[in-house]
Amino acid sequence: MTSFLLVAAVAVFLENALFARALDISVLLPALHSRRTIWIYGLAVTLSSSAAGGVAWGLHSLLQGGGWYASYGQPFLFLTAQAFLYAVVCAGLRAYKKELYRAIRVPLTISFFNCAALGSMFLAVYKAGSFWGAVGTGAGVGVGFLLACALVRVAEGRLAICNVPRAFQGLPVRLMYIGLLALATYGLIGHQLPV
Amino acid sequence: MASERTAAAGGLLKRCKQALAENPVLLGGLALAPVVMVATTVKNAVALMIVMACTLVPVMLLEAVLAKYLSMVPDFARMALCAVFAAAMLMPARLAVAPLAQNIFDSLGMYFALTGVSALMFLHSPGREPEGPRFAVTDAVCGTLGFALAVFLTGAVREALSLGTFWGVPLGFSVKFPAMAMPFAGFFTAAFWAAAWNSLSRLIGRMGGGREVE
Repeated sequence: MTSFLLVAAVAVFLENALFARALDISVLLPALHSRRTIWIYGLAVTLSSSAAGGVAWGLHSLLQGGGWYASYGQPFLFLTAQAFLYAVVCAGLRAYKKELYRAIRVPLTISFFNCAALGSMFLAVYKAGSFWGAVGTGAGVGVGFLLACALVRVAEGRLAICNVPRAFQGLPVRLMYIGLLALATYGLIGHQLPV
Repeated sequence: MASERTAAAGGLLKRCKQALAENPVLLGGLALAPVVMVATTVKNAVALMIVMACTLVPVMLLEAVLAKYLSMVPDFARMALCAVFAAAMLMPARLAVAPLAQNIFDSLGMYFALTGVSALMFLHSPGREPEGPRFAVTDAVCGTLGFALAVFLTGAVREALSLGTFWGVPLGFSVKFPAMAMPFAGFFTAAFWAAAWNSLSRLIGRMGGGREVE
């Protein structure tokens, strides 16, 4: 449990998946649509990443060591496992909660097939050290995504009343803001800029 | 018959022009993670282009074929099949990328596989409607070109400023900025290119070929 909490806290604050690794940047844009979509995407990313972390740890424990696995097999197996998980979740929801499935179909698909979910599988294998650590890495990626969404959403309101140059409106100014937060996080951890 | 062919070619050309003007990476924010994180040199950029080409074109074609001929299969099952296919396409991509440099996979790290999964995000890009295999291939090629452009521009600027080289060849700059290889600099560089593309897209829109942004 300690390992779960520790790894999750590191993934949320110190090595936030968005600011330190740009992992869920493509999910961030549809998620920022409203407060409701932030929660939907945030929860979906957290659940998919946590499950993915656990599955990755299991696969890695079973198959590690082989040359084929390290070079070719790992990405293939991880993405295939992700597809299987996605199909199981969708089939279950479609069978028992049809209305919910219809409502969250697109966020669910985007949450499973994006850099955050697959990235948390690789991070779980290389950084976690235990099964619960791997699940914690996935959960931390998801909660970190929610935190990043909240921070960017706050800025959206403020940027809307600023006189942003026309060329920078939309995605460019968001990227600039995320870049500033990434720089702040980089400094906060204690890194020095290379000279 | 000839007029039908001309109309089809005109349609494809218009679609290509629109797809390039509406760059999916610089305007749509798709597949930004590899661009921001590992497009630090031109070699890395070329490697990412190859991975994207190896996955996006076959995956979009497969999706269109499945949608046309296996429409009775639930959409989640088709999506899962596309994901497995994208995963399989990473193997030839790895073979194609390997000759670029000895340590190329160390430089790309997990972003090699993440570029492949980014291709799946293109299937859900806003406003995209599956319209058959031919249009899917056009969309995929234009998407790959858009990604290639974004990743090349970002990689070239960051390599020139951080290492003072282009494809490893010294450019003779007396000042270097090693921080340009850091992730936050990736966000800034992508932001500047996105702003430039925004302006270009508006210009094309005014000339009557693309979108008009408000």
